[in-house]
Amino acid sequence: MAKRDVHQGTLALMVLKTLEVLGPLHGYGIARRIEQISGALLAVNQGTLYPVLLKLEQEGAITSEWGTSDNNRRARFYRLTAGGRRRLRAETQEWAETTALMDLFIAAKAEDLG
Amino acid sequence: MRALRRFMNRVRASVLGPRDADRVREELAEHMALLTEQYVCSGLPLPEARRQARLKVGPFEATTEAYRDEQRLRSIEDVSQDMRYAVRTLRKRPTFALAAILTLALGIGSNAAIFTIVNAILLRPLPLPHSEQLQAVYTRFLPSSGLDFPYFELSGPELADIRSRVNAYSGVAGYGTFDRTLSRDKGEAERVSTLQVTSGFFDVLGLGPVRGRTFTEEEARSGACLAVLCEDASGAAESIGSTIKLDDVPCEVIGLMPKALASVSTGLNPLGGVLADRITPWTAL
Repeated sequence: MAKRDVHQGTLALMVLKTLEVLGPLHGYGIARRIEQISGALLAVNQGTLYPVLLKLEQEGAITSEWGTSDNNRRARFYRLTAGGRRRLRAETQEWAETTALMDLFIAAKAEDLG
Repeated sequence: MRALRRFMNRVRASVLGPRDADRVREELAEHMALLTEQYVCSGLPLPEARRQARLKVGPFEATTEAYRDEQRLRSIEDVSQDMRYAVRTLRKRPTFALAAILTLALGIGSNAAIFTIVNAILLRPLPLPHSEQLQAVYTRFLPSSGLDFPYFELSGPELADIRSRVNAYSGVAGYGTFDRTLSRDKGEAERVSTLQVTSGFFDVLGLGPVRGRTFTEEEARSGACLAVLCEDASGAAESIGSTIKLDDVPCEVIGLMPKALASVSTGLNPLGGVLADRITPWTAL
């Protein structure tokens, strides 16, 4: 299976979900988590994560502050806000509805309409 | 709401400068370091681990550039940069700056002046009651005549025809504009623009005299020269009942019209060649 590019909106949702599951995390941690979950299917330059993080922060879905990483180096930690949690719920539902709808369409056969 | 919040954040970053401009560089460096460690742990020699990490993170400059674009509003920065550049350039060349400013000033000034005239003559409605019911009738030359006169005067007989045969109007009146020499017993003669009008002209416009009277149809037919002056003409008030001379023809001044009519008679000349003088006598046609 070929590696897939990732849509920006999708990446934002993945980031929110990761932060919900794992708690405060730095960029590397988020990228690593997304890669672990998606396996080798997702082809994304990990650098592109940072503009997405900034955008989410500007929109108030996450906040960030400097902290110390596992190996005692300065790293920026991102945390989900209450607004981000609400947004994650809403977008998860939206996503589920969209995929369910697409599944229906793709599975539909000509006889079903008879 | 979300978009608004982000927009405000970006505006603030653009105007004040981002609070931590170098943040993304530091984050990317840290990211790279952690990734390199990860590859080293999985058994790669350090140089190869570094290379792999760099590949994985992607192009450094492109990322920081994209980050910058998200951080601020490009348009605000571009505009303020252009402004600063313009000010600097103008300061460096004061002569050019002066010329540019003068050009703009003159351009804006003359535009305003021309618009004032256009507004007064063409756009502003005439200061008359029911001016929306007024219509001007002209002769237009057919293209086949080879002459291009969209607003040509009617002849006397044409006016008479319209007067007697067209029922669409509650009143029809004619006028002609003439520059004439005005002289009185005392004082210097002056050149004034006058309207020569048919009887009923003032009724059609819906204006009555502020003093004195206007002329009747019989008087118009009699051929005597009767003059109606504009209220604000110099010495107009005293001249009622006196005789003035227009092109050496004695005319009796019988009334004063409100000054509003002076601007109307300006507007009545579609070619705009004659501007109403302060003395605007209307005489019987």
